[in-house]
Amino acid sequence: MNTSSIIIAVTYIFVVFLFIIEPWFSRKNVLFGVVFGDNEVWSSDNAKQIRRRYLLESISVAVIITMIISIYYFNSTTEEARVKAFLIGIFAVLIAETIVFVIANRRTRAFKAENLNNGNLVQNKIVIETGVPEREAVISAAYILLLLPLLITTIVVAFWGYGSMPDIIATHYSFTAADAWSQKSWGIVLNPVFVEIVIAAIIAASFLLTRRAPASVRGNPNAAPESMRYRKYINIIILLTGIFMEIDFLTVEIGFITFVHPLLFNIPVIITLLLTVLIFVVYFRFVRVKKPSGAILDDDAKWVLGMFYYNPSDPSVFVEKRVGIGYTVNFARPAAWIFMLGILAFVLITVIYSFYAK
Amino acid sequence: MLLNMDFASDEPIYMQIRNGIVTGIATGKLRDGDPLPSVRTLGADIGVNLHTVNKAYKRLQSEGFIEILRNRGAVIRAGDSEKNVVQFLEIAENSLKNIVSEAITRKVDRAIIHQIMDNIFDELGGNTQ
Repeated sequence: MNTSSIIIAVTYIFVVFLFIIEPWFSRKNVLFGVVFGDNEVWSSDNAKQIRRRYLLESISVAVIITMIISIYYFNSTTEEARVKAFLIGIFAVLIAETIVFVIANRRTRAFKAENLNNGNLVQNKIVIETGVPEREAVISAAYILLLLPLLITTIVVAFWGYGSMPDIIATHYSFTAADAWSQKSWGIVLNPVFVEIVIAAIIAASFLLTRRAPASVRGNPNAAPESMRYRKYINIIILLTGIFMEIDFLTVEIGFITFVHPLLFNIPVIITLLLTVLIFVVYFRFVRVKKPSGAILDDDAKWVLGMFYYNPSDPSVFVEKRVGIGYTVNFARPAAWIFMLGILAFVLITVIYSFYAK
Repeated sequence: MLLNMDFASDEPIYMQIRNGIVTGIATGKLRDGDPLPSVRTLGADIGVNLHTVNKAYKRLQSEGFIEILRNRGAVIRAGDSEKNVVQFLEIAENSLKNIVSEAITRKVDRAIIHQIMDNIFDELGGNTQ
């Protein structure tokens, strides 16, 4: 088993794990994408039963798929075939677990239909607090300028340093030492710059599109308490992630000129992982444990299958996910499709590029 | 101030925004200098098209209730609204004509309509006498 099959196996396990625990990453008055009037629903017997069934079904599905890919895995002779087994496994889990979620969503809808105690839920009504100053509600767009200094530094290092770079330069590092080298060329030297430009563009777009993203539950200012603060923290974390990724590629660029200790490359990676942990902490602190009050808008119809947001009248491209941490797109907005296709194109280009580079 | 929106109402959304803010000024919940959210923020919060919010804000501006600041939302400037009293009275007379016509048709006494008007004035804290 070498590095690539370890990475893909870990990814596989992580994806399976995320699907199994998914229902626990929502507001307590949201169950499988279905909204209720208060948090009490979470601990009701019916809700517990739906979650238990989901747990049983999602674990069974994961076990079956894991068994099938294990057979493939152990019968494969090449590394490529082993990676492929896990890749197919990831797609199979994605599809099968989504179906399990949709079934749970339908059970929840049925439970909601017969649950008469939904007093706080209202149809077609929303109350907005107009007195929140813009600065408090939305983080300033100017913060994206923080992505520029490191990008400019990398460009400067690339052009000024080109002359003093050796003919053979280290292009990849393991935990302890450089493990891949290339002949010096402008293509190789500017590669970190291009990657940084793409990272900065994705981070800037995510930052700008999520800075006004509404909470997944609306109705009145107390329907999602502290959601503005949560949104701001997430925006800051997005920006910091971009900055630390930029530092990583700046370090690669510096590594072309002079020796850089391999451990230095891992510091930004570790910080990025810590930021991921921070997202979980912030999520639990400002979303999960919050208790809503007042009228809650019943907008289940806008959440297709409890997970895809489709609302033509909503100008937001990004909205908080109903289940799971982070944001999802409003599929009724063309900009959302452009963003998704952009990400897909980026992934495909990266995969094809790395394939041909080999 | 809390702005109540009803998506099922016959009243257009931009009028609901406009009327909500005018009511806020009348009741003293909104005072001169109070900030209003930017068009984008309010649109995102309510979940309606930015043109809808823009239409409401433009109207409030032309009626002299608010001042629109570039990129920073808007603020209440109701002092200007007194300048447009003539225009308001013309519009109000038309609306009242419809109400009074219906009252006459339904044989509702004028004293009752007067009483309702007084009650609304009291409720909103306006100058009653």
